[in-house]
Amino acid sequence: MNSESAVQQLETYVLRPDDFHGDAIPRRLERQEVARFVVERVGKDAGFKSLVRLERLVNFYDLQEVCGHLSSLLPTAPTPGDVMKAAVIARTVAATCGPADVQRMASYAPGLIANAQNTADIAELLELQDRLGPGVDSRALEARIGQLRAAYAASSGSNYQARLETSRLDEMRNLRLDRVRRGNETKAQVLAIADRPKRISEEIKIYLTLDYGYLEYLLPWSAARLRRETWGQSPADQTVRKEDPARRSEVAKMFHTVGANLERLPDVDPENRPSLQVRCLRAVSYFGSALSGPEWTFISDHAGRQVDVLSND
Amino acid sequence: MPSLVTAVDGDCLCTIAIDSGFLNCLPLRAEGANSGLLNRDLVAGDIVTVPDVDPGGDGGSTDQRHVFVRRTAPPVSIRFVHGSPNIPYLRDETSTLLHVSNHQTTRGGLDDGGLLPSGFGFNQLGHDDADTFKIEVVDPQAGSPVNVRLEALRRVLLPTGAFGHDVFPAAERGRRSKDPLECQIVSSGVAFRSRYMRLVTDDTDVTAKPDQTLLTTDMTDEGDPSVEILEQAVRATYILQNCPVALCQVSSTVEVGNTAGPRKPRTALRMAMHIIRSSPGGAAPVTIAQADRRITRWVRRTYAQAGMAPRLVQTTEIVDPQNNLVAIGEPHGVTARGGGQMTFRITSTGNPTQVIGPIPTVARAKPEDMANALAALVAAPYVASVSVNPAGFSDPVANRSADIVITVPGGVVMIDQENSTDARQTLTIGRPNPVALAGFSNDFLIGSSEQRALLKTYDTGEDRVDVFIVQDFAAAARARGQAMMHGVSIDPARPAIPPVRFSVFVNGRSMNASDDDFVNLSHEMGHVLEDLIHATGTRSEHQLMMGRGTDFLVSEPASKRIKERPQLYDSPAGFHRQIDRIHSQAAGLLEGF
Repeated sequence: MNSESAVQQLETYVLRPDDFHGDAIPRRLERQEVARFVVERVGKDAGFKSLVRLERLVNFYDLQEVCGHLSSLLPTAPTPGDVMKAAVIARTVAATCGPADVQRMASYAPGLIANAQNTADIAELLELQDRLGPGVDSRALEARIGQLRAAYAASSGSNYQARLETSRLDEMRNLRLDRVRRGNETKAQVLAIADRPKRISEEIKIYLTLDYGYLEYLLPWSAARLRRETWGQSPADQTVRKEDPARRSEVAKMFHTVGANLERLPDVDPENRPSLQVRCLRAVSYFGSALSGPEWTFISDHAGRQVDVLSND
Repeated sequence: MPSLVTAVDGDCLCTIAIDSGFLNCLPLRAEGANSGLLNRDLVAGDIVTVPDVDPGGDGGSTDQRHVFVRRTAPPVSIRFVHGSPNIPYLRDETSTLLHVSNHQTTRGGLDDGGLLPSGFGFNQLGHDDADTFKIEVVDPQAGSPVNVRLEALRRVLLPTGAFGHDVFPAAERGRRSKDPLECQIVSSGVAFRSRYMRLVTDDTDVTAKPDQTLLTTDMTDEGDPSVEILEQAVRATYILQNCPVALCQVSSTVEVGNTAGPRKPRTALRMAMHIIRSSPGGAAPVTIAQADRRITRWVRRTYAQAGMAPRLVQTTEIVDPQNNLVAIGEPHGVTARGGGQMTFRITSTGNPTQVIGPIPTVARAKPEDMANALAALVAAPYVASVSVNPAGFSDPVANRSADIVITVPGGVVMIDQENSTDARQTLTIGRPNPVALAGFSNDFLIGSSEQRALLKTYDTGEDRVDVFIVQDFAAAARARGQAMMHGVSIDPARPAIPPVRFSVFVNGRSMNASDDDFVNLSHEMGHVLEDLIHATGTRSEHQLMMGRGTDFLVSEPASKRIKERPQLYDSPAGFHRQIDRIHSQAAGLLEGF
């Protein structure tokens, strides 16, 4: 068996992306080494798939150290050909970096929206809209979808490609944009919970796919939120990454408790209990608390290829 | 008084003469009764007249030791051998079967760590490939080197109704032959042997090692796509060096591949192909003939090294893309919140339009429940079929999305005006765009909704690899092909479902009239057949299942080998024997040759 170095793992994951290992973020690496890799190896020539991998990597490690570098990759005057890649970079920054960076990306987004030409562009911009979070105006995006929709509809009579674009734009406007907005409203509601244990509890519910809707947006957000809960007491204190063993232990303990009481939760499908138990136990370990031998055995027996964001596996 | 000898297979006038005590065939050729045998090869049953031998005489003193050398022993012969490090030459096992080599042609050693030795005689680096062979000639009257002719034979139907083998047509015979093939005397002086030889299936391998390869390949581009590699034979022929008329020859023929072979049992691999038009009624990315050619040329060549031959089980079809898949609960496969509504509209030219719903979503309803409720509202002439997808890798195992596929006999279905206002459960439409297909991005055991729309409409069964040819994949994906694996080895709790698994998608460029991207389809099929992801580790770049993108152009070092020995894979991580794995994981896709 080959034992790859950190750089080799990162090169494979980011620079040589395949279709099978998108969720196989190299874990347990020194974050400084990851940050150095990002700064030194990822430039403006990075491909779209590599940037999507980079997004996952930067989010996983909360690599706020690379925010400046990522911002420098954004074209100052984007053209239509820049939209997809720039949207990925902008949302990586928005999801990981501080409030000022989020604001900068919110200001940058209209330039991308104006250059969007098709559903592939819009799909990435919807994701950006999600990462920009609560309170960000989405009317420009809605308007651009409407403009493109009208243009495609005008030529869609016997043109299958145009009909596809028209139908997809309908779906994006009527369904996905609406879900982005509602997802952001939900985020705001959760962030507004002043009671820290209650807020963390709700974030754990989202992370376990329980109760909440709009999970295509909220689930990854909840994982990031739970990491941020270890940076400070309240969301306002959680904008800059800080190691705090006590808060990590607090979140780990809550996961431990939830994992041990899954049968008491009303909406848990009994078939899902082992998967959710694995997810909780991995989170316990991820946040630095020790697992018992039987708990490790349980993970080994039930994880399969399950991918959990808050995990060192 | 002359005697009569009945010839058997492999006899020539020289060998019969030598067996009868002569040095060569001249006395038999001088016999008038043999006049009809002089200008053709003997066949079994020929009656050969053998004149009396003049025993002659030689004087010598008594009480002295006289050495007599029999110049015709051991008898002249030719055979195929693999060789051995320490068994006497003439006791080495005779090879009765040859296989196409799995190794990189120029490389030697168990794992191709060295070079294939180009010299004569035993060499472990050549010996390590179980499929190398040598030609051995025994002719006590010959001097080194001797030359033989080695040639591939095609299967033919004999006048008797049985199958046999014959030479390829004249235009093809030369490139499928090695003449002369040099054999040098071995160290013990009893025989002559060739270098290590390999059977290969494309010209680049021949060019890379011209003295040590024999081309055993298809005739697709030469006008006969029915010619199988694994039905061919190889014949070695030696014209006796001392035959005074240079006509007497011995030969040996062995088959390529064998159904009963323990290592690479000859097996047929069932396949069906579907070419997707760029739009309903629009152009197809390739013709049926072009697609079929890729099977009978490159899939055949590639899998011959594993003892397998592709077999199309139905006529390749050209079909329309339909926007006919309704996906409920994708992604995450969660239950409904309740209190929302779901609806969509079905249209089809020449058929009535139907609006399905809106129906209320029900709290805690699974995607399958809502799919069934919606499907129940679909009326004739439309037919709705519900299927449940496996959970995604990032979801608990019971979080399964569901699909409704809607078809209409003889028509193309288009669904639009879809909506779900449920907070948890989405409703989206699979709208395949064959010009820029969105493949899966992560959940490869589920597939994208575009892929599932095609799979769940046109997949033809569990006993074959269904191949879907689209013009291209979405630009951002930069994919050339994608495989829908079985997935039990990957995650037993999330295996792919029947209409999806055992299928592959490939782009049009890899299926067109050129040889571009020649192993793209074979590579994707490898995922399906082996239920493995990518080969990794040392020299994996030469393997068909390498993960960095198979080579685009045909060449000797290209990524086209299917290693027989254990190969390191990334997932499931570890060493796997690929050929064994195909037989165990994809048994349902194989049939007797």
